[in-house]
Amino acid sequence: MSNTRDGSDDRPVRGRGWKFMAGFVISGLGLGLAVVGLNPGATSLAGTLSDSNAGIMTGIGIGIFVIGLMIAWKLRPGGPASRGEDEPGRRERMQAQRSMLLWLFPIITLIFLYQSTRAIPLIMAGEESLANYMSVLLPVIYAWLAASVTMGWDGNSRKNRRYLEDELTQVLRARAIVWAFLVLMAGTTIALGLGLWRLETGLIALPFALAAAGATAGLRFAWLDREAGRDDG
Amino acid sequence: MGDPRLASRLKEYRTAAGLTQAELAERAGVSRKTVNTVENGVFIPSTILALSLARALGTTVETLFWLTE
Repeated sequence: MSNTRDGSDDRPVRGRGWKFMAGFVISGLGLGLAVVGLNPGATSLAGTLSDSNAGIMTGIGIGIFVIGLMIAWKLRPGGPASRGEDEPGRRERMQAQRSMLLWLFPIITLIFLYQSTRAIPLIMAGEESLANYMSVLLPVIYAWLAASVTMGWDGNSRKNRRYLEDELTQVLRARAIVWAFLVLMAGTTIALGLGLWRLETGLIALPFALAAAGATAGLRFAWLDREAGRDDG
Repeated sequence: MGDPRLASRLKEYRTAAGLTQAELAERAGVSRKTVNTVENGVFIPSTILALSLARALGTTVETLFWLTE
């Protein structure tokens, strides 16, 4: 008699079902937060939420929405997590998850960049609120995140090194980082030039340079990883 | 990443052994993508990886890889 039939394995399956549903609930909460952030005037928050806070709320909402969707996808009925998987399957899945994150980070960063262009002039004008500083820092944090995942410095990569690291990964990483370094050099040089011309414009350009470098590292790595999976032979 | 001077019989030997890319990758302790890129000449394996692939297929490195010039 199988484990599933005699009931001994039912509890983990039920647990996964709840987590799958929880993924959707989290996703819904994130979406709600993002919608409120985008249009605070339509809610009771009208007049109490500044533009910067609304922007941060939107960004965080989108982040929660994406994380919720990822949890739901990972634990979907009939998916690898519910079937149980062998080592090669797990390796493929974890590498695909890493690639998906690296595609997503630049998209989220773009939203935060819009906020940072609005926050920097406010800070320079003397409105030194936490929300304004956060608006400037968030795209930079996401740039660091993209670079960290590409480099294998994040917790998941370090914990699952045997699934996420091999010779090919190191070569792809090196190639991605070369591009990112070029973008970083060009971006900061442009930011310096703009800063000499107009200090405020130079400051606004800096998060763009860092975000572009982080995004380049992540996107180039994800692209090379995708190309490596294509069987031309 | 590749080099036109390097030729390989990896795919030939793998299929002759009745293995998929994923099965060979598991035996050699690497990802399927690594095996795929080595087979397609996109990625030049290190000495250690070449030896691991040869051992997984029960042959020698010289049989699997050679210089064309």
